[in-house]
Amino acid sequence: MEFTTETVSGVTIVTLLGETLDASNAKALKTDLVPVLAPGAKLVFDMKALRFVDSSGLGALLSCLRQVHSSGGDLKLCEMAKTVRALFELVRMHRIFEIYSSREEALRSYGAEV
Amino acid sequence: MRCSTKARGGRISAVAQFEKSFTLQVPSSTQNLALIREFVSAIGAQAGFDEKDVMRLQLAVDEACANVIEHAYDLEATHEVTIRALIDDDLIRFEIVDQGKGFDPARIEEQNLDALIRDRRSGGLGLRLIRSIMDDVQYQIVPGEKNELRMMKRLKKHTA
Repeated sequence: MEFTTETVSGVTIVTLLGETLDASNAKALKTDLVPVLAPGAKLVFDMKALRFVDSSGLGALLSCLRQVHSSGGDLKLCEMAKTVRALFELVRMHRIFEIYSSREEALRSYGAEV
Repeated sequence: MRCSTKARGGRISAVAQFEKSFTLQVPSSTQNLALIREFVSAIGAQAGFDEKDVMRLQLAVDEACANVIEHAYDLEATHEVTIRALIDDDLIRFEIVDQGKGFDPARIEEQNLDALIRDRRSGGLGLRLIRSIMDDVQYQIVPGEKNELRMMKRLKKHTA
């Protein structure tokens, strides 16, 4: 899956451009995101394009979260479609990730000025 | 659902007859998961499920097929996965059939959700998802011959 990155007030926003994150592309995305997961990184994943995530996709996102947490950074999610949010709730992942309705809210949670 | 009886070897057994049945057979590649989800979406909508439940049906079948491709076939794309969808007036049933390696469902049932998330390579998280979405899930595993996962979801009736 393709993604773009931009930095706002020290926070890196990763915008996922694909509509699906499943067993066909989760592993590749995890590999492609490695350079973004720098030690201490403050990250926001913008998921507005995403319409479907399965357990492979959840696993990839969880792996990213653990990696940034282990190096003192953080990863927050935003702009999640209702169907994707429902899946997160189904497996209680909404308790593990900080999820914000907008990119601005996610940035503010880091103390960034928007 | 209509049921008929059939004499077989001196025993009488009930045979369920569904109103509509559809079959999709695809090579065992994760690249085909999108096609499988399209198939499930079309049939789920035809059966009368709403958008939210169609998404859940897509997820359940996606998880089942991904498990087959990753664990039963070890990601070898040279095999086949068969998805049968059976619709009746108040339920939908999916049957996922493969000829790959079997597994022990009891081992997966014992793990809690946190353990399944930690160790997601086991395929257990997918099975847990399937169980939480569908109303009934059954496995028939014949080692070396075939594995069949049957899962059923009832249509919620809306009252005026």
